[in-house]
Amino acid sequence: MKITSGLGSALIAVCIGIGISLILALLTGASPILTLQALWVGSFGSPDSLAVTINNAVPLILTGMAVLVAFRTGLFNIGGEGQMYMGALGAVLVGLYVDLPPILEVPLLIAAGALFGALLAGAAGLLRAYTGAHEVISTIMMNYIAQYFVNYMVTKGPLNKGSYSAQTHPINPSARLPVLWNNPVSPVTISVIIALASVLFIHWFLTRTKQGFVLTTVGLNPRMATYAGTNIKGYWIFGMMLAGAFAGMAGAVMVGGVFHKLVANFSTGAGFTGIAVALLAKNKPLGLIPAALLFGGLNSANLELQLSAGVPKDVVLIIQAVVILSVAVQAVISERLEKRQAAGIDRVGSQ
Amino acid sequence: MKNSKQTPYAVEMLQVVKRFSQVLAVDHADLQVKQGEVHAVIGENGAGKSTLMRLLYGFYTADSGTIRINGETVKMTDPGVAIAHGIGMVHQEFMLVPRLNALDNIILGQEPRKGLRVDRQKAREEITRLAGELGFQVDLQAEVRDLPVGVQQKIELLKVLYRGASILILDEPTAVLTPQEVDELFQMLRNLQKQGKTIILITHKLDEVMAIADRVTVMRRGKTVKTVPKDSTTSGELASLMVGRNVILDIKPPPVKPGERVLTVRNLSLQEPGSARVLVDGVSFEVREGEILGIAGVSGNGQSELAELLTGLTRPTSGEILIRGQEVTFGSVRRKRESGIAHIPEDRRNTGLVMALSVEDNLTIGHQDKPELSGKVLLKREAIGERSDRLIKMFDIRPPRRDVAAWHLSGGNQQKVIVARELDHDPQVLVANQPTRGLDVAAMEYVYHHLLEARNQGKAIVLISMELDEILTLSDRILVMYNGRIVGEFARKNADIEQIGLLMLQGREAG
Repeated sequence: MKITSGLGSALIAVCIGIGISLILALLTGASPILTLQALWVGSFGSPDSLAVTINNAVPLILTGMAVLVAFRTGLFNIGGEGQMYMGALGAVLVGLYVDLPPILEVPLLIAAGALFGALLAGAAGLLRAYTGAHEVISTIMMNYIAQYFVNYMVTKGPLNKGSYSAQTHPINPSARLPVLWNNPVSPVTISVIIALASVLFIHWFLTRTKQGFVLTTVGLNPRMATYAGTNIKGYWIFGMMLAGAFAGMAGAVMVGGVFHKLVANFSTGAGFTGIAVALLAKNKPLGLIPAALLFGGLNSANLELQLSAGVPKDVVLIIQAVVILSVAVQAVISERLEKRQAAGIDRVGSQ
Repeated sequence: MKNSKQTPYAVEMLQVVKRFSQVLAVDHADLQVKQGEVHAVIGENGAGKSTLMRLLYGFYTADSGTIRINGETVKMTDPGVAIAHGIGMVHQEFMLVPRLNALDNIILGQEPRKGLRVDRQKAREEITRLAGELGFQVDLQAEVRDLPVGVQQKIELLKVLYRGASILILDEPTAVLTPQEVDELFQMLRNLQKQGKTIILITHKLDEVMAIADRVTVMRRGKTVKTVPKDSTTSGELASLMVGRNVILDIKPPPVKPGERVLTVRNLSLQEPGSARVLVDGVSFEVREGEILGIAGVSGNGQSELAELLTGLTRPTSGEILIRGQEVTFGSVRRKRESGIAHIPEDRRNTGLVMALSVEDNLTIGHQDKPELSGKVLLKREAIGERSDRLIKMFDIRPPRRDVAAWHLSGGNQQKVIVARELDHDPQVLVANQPTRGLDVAAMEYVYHHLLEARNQGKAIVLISMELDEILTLSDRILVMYNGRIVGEFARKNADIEQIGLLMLQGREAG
């Protein structure tokens, strides 16, 4: 059963994805070798592309985390995109209106992003707990609410900088995330550390803390958790807020580390890609890092694929889609295998 | 109609066996139903009645044994075969399309045709005639979802008759009906009998048997125990046959003098939300230290709801629950647990355990807030591990490993995990709902041993079980539940199986 679990199966999914894309490249008349080469060079093979890949991956780790944490609570958070917009709004408010030394202002900016994301997701958790409104529906709808609310704020709303462009004034220099690697194409900031720390934190939270333990039981079997005396509604709200905080942080690092202002429609869909990232990571926190690097790398290889291999950049989308499909199919297969195995053990193991 | 000695049985099932993985659901059962009779098949829940009927209707295929219909040996491979031989079944859960009208539901799959079109006119005439013969009318245009349950059942019956059935199987047809509807149903059945139909009635209600059956077959634990004509038996005899007395384990609990009153329940009631049904109806009792109170009853008479009320999973509509004089009636599960109630739930897999988590985690759930197992935030993994090892050893959980997932354990060992976890709360009151369901004898004995030990330590135990044997073996006092009410109370030494059986099956002692 090793093949269908963890890292091995994720690697298989990735290979299938790339394999099928090479076949497609071949069919369109491109060279598979050049395609592979372009994929590599465009993602990890040069300093510039590596920097782009890392900067693509950071928000994906955070939005993937927003899906993972909710999933571990037994909920589907499809609202990462909206929570990211709200997080960006919270961050830009701090960046525009608070003036503190960077050592205070940067953490405040991130915290504001987390808070705004948490509040939006928490609303979905509340609705689920007290009205039964399914969180899939409410988070999807909140994506629109959040995105258009933020767009309004920066176009016709009070945050518009007063010209015809749909954006805010730049944030205070003290609110910018410090740069770790000043790559000319895409400077890498401390957002990398924030993402990695988030992964470690959730890994620790789920395995070492009492609250993480209870959250896990709620996610796996809410009925059992209720029977054991857990307030599962409280955990649903808490789980959603925790999840939303990470998506909110994704928005905050975009504002504080990339744009240094809030632009309408700034997202390229990281909130949604996070779902795929969490899926590929099998909802294991440590798995988010390679999964996000893969998706980030594929996105960063776009240009290179077109320029040097002559392959349309949509191939990247195909690879991503096939990887997701492979993971989903494997999940079904391994579930069946496990059931069969469990049934077999039942038979052998009864005294 | 001819009824000479040569007339073969309408239905004859000989030495029929059906096994579901571990469980022998039907164990060399024999059933002989005469043509034109109303034949009741009775037994407790899980006695194998429904499985036997599903074998007859071709839902399941028997592992071995012979089935003859009107003297002809038939291989019942699917319901189509049964229907072709004139067998029809009215299921406990109706198989109707809610959004179609009554007429379309009845003819669905058997539509009379005129060219390419469905000849509804012909169907309507035919069905109206059938209904008329039975003595009732149905609005054939009404959508099924708008019709009361009693009428839906008539539609099911018409559906079966429309397909030309001469042998009718009714699976607990009165379970969903009001008393008036039951009378109507029985009148219909008598009319059908007059037309020469053979009727097999599955039930566990003795009143109904005495009211309508010609002969009765009693099933227990997959076996057909006895077939008797109704006129030469009494409900008392049937009750004893049904609940039986199988001494599975020779356990003699040592006498313990019950101590102080621990659990007091007064007038506890639960009304089903959004309906008038009363699931638990004015239940009162008390349990003392060192006492096992057994609650006997056929499943579905409010025992599960009672367990949920006691443990806080459901809030009562009215009444009182007190632990040592302290009121906890409307408390949450947490509140009830804090006041000293522990709970072995009836559904091991979905309520008692998180199957995907390890034995250690399952032993820890609910205990994680104890200061020796965690600080404010951090789990004390080492202490948790030591505690798990101790419990695994004490309760002989196999395999003796804390890291295996619960679903890899056998049912008996899963139950040991639950018992260990709940008793480790050192509760004042233990509510044990069907604690040995689905366990083999060894595991069962183990659970009994621990329940008795808890009792001897002075805990108050409420034991809910569908197995009367279990109740009789373990309880110091016995209450019988029927239709949500307590209908009888017995001290251990006065427990009379026939009386208890009658109370379980018809709610009163006299036949």
